[in-house]
Amino acid sequence: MPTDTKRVRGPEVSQSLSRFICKPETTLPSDGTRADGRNRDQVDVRPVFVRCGLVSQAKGSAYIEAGNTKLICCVYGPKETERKDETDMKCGRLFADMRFAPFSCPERGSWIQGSQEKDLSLMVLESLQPAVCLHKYPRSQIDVNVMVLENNGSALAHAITCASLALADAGIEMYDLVLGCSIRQDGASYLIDPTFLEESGSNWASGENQGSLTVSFLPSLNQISGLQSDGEMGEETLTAGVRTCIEGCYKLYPVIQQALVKAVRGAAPPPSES
Amino acid sequence: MATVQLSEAEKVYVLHGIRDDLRVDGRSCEDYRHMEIETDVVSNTDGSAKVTLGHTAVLVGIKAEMGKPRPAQPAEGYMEFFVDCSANATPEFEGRGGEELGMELTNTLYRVFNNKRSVDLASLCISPGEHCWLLYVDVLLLQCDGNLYDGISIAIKAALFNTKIPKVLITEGEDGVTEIELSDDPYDCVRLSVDNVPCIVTLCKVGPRHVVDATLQEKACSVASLIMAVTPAGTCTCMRKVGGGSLDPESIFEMTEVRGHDPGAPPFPVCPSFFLLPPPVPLSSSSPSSSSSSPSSFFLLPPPLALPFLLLLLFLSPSSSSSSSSFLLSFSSSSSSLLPPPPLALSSLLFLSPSSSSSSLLSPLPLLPLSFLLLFLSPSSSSSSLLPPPPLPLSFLLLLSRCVDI
Repeated sequence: MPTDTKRVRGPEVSQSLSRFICKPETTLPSDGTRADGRNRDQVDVRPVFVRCGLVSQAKGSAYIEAGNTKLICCVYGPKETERKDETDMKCGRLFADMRFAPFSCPERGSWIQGSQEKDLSLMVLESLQPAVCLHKYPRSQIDVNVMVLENNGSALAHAITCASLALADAGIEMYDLVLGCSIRQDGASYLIDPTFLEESGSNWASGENQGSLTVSFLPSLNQISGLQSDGEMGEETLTAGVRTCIEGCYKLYPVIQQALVKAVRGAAPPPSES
Repeated sequence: MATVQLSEAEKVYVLHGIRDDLRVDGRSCEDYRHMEIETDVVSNTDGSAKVTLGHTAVLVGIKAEMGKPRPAQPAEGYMEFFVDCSANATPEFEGRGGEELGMELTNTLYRVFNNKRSVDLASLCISPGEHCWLLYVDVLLLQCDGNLYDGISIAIKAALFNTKIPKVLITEGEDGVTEIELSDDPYDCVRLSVDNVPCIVTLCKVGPRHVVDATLQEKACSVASLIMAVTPAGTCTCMRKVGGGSLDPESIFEMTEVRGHDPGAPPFPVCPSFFLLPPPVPLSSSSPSSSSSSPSSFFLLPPPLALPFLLLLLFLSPSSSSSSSSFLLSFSSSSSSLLPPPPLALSSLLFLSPSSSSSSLLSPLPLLPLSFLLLFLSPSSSSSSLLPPPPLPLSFLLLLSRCVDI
């Protein structure tokens, strides 16, 4: 970005106004309904809106909206690989890149990819890789770019779903769709598909079993392609959490399938009867 | 990433071995390689440790610096991690080659420590909103032979145990200006509690089974592995799938499973963790005498916490003047008489202090099905020529053993 050095610019460091607001203690209500009307301890994922093929320039693209979490994903390729030094040319290579728009979170982010985004990119890549038939694309690379437009929680899980949908829309051969789902464990109860506030809840310190878990799942192969947790959870809680996430993925599955079928129909309308 | 190329025949050999619970180096699926932990190895740091696990070598240095707390957590200090994959380890890391792996490891470490209980961050606060201690945890990979995660986490735990944060005094001046005073006595320092610092266990799925502490060859045969950061209390602070493959949900549950049907078995059969380190010994000028009165300590956790790892700690006073080689000698001679000669897979681990009778120390060992001994720390006298003798009156020895899972 060109900068005008003659002009007096703003301060180098600025802080978001939200830091100075005296927040009322935003504790999660410990039982019953959540802020958006869903219930705790129920596999109650937010309704999603999904569309394929929005970006005409890309080979495949997808848009997903779950509550206020909005993501767009584009897939380019397969094209000839840029890296020629790779010894293993029998398989194609998948590259994933996940970014947050600077305005996507309550506090402004930077355009430059931070280490958190790199970590999420790696998670997206490792989740998608088992599902793509990379051996069908020798000497080529496939690029997946995910952009988070608005982050209201569970961005990684939806990014994975969105990316696999875009891959399918691009006509890349895959073994299965990849669906992502995350939960936020709060003591003995869990919140599936948490919102941003629930994700960064202020009562992390208190009690046991505070943590979050994201699972990506291949529904028709019954395989887990990605798994990550943080916080501190007991082993049984973790196992239960993984099962809950898988259940959440199955809830998402028909919606994603429909969107895909719709996209295929739209691309090639069925021949008329006459 | 540091990898090796294996031919199909080699892969089949490794795979079939693991199927029959016998790995290329003679271990069974749930055995670790020998491990050496050495603390206080770099004098310019506030805490340091070097861990060798087979041919994997990791050096960790911790530096404490003063900084401003983060606005979101004004009453806490914080930790910064950095993993450097130096080109010493493998030529692939040259230039920017190691960056990707370093970033992956660094981000995982942030995740592992992203909870309130691993390290007491509040104790790093000097004055809320103004000053706090910032711990820079710098990890250097010296050699790569698989299982980097486990080696790094153990090295970080040992280095945190070794970390000495100088005591500072905050005084309020007349005009409302706060002054910070640093104690003149270099021994006047605070130790961190490392009781809840997790250790990472990597479970590598090879064929139908999973192995711990995979070498590079075994890693080349595996499509995916699961890393778990486990605390002594049996909780998990981070779980993550790494690698390009996918796993069956059932195999993930199996990997994390608590062995319910066997009452004698500890939870997390394949997820060992460090035993608690003993409370830090106060460093004072009187410590040589105090250490000679209690030359060693043996720690076994109560059953609910009994993870297969056992950490032993020995304090040697300089007066005992044992070089590490003589220490080893005494170890090997007496161990053979007390325990069966260590076969390849199960080496017995004992732990002797030259100045005290060993029998009392050894008595708990028969309770363990069999265990093996890992590692030692150099006494101040010699052994690691690379590093100057530590300035402390005590250096200590860590022994780590793991019950064999029967």
